[in-house]
Amino acid sequence: MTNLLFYLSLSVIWIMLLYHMFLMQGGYFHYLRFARSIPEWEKKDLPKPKVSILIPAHNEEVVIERTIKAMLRLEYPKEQLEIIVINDNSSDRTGEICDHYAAQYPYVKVVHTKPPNAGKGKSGALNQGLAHSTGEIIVVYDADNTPERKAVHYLVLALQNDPQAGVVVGKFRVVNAAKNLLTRFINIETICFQWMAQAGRFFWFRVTTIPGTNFAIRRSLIEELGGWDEKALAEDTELTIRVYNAGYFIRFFPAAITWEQEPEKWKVWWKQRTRWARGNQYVVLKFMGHLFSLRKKSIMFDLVYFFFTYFLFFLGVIVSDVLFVTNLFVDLQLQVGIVAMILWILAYFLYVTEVMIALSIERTELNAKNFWIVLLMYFTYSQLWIVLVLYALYLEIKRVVFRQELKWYKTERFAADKKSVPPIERQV
Amino acid sequence: MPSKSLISIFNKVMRIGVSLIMLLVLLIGTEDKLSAAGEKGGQEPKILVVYTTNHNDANEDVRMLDLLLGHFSSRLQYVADDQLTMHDLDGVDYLVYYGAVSKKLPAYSTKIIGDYQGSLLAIGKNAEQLGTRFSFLSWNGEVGIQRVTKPQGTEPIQLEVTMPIEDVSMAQGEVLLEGWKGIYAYPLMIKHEKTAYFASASLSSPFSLGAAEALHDVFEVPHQTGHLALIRLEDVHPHSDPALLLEAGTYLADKGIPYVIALIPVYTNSETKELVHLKDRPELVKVLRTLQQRGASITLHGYMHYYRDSETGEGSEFWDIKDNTPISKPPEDTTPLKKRYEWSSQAEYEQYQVSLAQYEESYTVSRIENGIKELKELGLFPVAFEAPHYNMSHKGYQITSRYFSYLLGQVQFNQTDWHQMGTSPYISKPAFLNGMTLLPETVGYWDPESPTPTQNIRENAQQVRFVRDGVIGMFFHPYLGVAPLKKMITYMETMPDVTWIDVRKLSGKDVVKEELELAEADGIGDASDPLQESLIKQVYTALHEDSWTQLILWGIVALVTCMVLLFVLYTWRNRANLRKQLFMERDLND
Repeated sequence: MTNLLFYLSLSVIWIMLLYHMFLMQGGYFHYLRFARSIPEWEKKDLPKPKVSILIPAHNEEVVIERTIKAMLRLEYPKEQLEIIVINDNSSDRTGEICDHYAAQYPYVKVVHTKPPNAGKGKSGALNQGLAHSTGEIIVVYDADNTPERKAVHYLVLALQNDPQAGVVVGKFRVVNAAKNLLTRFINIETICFQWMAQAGRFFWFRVTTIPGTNFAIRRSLIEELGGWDEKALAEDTELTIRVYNAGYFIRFFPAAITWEQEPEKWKVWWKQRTRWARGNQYVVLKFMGHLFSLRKKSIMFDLVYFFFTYFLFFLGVIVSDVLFVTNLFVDLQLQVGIVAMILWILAYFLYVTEVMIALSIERTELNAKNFWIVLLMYFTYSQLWIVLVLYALYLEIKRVVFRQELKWYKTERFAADKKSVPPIERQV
Repeated sequence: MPSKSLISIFNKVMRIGVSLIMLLVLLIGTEDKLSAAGEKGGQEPKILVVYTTNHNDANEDVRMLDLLLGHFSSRLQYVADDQLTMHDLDGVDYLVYYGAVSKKLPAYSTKIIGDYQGSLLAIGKNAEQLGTRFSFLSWNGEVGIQRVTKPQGTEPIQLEVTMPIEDVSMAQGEVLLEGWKGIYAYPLMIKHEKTAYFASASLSSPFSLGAAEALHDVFEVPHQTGHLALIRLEDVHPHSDPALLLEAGTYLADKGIPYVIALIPVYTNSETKELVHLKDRPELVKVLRTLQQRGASITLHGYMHYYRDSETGEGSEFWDIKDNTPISKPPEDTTPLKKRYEWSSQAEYEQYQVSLAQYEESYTVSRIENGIKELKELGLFPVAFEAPHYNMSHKGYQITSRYFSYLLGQVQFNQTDWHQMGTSPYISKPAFLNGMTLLPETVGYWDPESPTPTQNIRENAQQVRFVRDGVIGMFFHPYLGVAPLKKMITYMETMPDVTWIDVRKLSGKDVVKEELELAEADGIGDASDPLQESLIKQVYTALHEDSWTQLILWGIVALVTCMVLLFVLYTWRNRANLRKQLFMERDLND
């Protein structure tokens, strides 16, 4: 019986590992190819459409000014640009700061939401912003983002030249990576996520997940979809699926880069990740029911992937860990054999090399310090994910059982210091 | 499934064939040797034993005598010298007097014995008090002897120490056995007409061997001069290695040697206390079934093989070794047993004794019944019992006799000390085993600790060979690997006159085969495994045994290794291209 369990968990785990290996290969191909079309597109020089940038902000006084400044520096014709900060029921100076800039720059607008339409989370804020916007293309940034100058230019360029794409997603980088061990972990994690999951899936299946920031969506599409789902905790994942269901795909275009702030404290990180995990579980459960009626089969694949991640793989890892630990104390007579040992070691090598590719794509990340952190991360940061999913499952079950209402756990921001200034700003 | 029915037809043909052959072998070879152990109670002589011991109780000496006599008859009756009545002699074919100690016998007893006209055997002390029948002998005190021979000049039994016997001179009669002090011979077993005398009060080994041989002549049961052999694969439990067991069993089966598997249904890890039942080890069960199918006799070797904390295979299960008492309380109960003086009256003390005995009864019954049940559920049919450590109280033997007809190994003689144990050199059905037949272990086992394991067995076997139809009973631990077993068997094969005992066919029919057929008819066993269980088993087997799983796993290893190497290459290439790469962060240089 234990042998059966062992082999089942081994299978599930290796299906996931092989899939990620495959994705990483795709990610590398995408890295080699994505930029090839840029010169051609730029040569066409299509007329610039009107763009509305939506920045939902809820108590963001610490970061909002820097964000707005970054928006002002964007290399996009100002007459075709509209920056809308949605001051969502903030109780701090967010509104004040935004108003200050709105007064100076005509293309900066502030939407102050007031109850009952306020504080409904990011989806609600975005819907409000959408209502006030006029752009043909909607670009969304989080309030802690500092996009590079050409970010919006590239997002729009790709959307213009790819009529099949309903959404174009850029790449985000971590601005405060050097702050502490946690931010270093997150930095490596985000780089991997983008090159493996985003680029890899886009390359093989034309599937990308909207990461919630640094993406452009056609106004026609978001209106067709009826805006953001205000019940969804992970509104980005949820929107992703509906975009595919509407017959479009999402392009991953890493030329558009934004820098965002990541949690510097474990507690903040924990809250943020719990929200993501719960959000994704919500999405899986919402769409799993009519999995086969989805229009784009590729996104069906993605849902299965999510299902694997949050349920099967998770179970596999738990079972395998339990077996491993039990086996330390009690002889379970696992007929494992040498091949399982080799696979175990290979899994580690695979992980390290995958992460190394992703890091080597980013110019400054392939260094000795990160190498050691990668080695360490496997046994520490990566394992936290198990606890996290477990906790999220617990919360989700509790919510269903006790019919609790969802709350928006806003990610706490940290005041920028010199160290965590993105490279662009250092130039200024 | 067509293959299934083919197998069953094949099995039937095989079974009929095998049983015919076995029957033939039985008729030709072993029948008359085994009939001595006898199932034909009506034709056996009735033997009355009158004994004199220190306290006139049936002590270990009397039990040993019981073992020796049990070879010739199962109609045995024991009475202390002061308890003897005329009535006891009714229908008696043989009267045996055993004087373990010198004592003045009650006059009425000596009269009863003296008046008895039938065959009389006296052993040890006090024979001179038994009337004129022994006037052909005169006693001259004791003499120490160093070896024992038969007058026909067979191999002697060498005694390790000088043993005292009665120094008797005889006026008439025939010497059946002699003891030697240097070059002087002294009669050890003497027969004159219907009277016989054995000149030693001690019946313990090696005297038991001499007595056992000579008793054939006393009782005029000639028996064949060939010998029997019995081998057990010992201490097989759920934690045993199925592969090693299979190897040992297959080796014996291939050689056509019937053998016993002493099986313990539950294994307890001495550290974690985790219980592992046989059914948790499907692979081992499969091996056991296969071996049983090929003729192995499964023997219940206790349920767990221990009473108090001990690793399975090491402790005694039906005797409290620590307190040296019968099992009388739960193992975790450490309160000492109460003595008589702790009770205000004899009645209370007896009541207490009864409660202890009740515990022993329920304990023993449940262990044996669970053991049988768990084995039968797996299609394994135990045909005999072997007490763990060979220890068991008399009550234990009584209870065991409700379930089994055959007991393996050795027996514990008395109720007070587990050290007092022994065995007969031949098959025996003594009175105190309550109808069970003892299949003795006489020559020990392959001891990896010993520098001369074969030599040990050989020496013991030589002694057993002194006794006609002596059983060379041995055991072997399969975890030692098959190599030592082969040495043992090779040695046994040097003896021309040895017949291996097939325990499951001792009653004249293959009881296991009958059980298996019954089980099949009832739909127990292989055919009736619950669907789910068999499904799991199939999946498990497919995963574990079939090479394609391994192939896939190795395939993954190869693929992943390639990819890892490729990824290293990519990383290296990216690093090399870092400067010239067309990358969007060139914004920096704007």
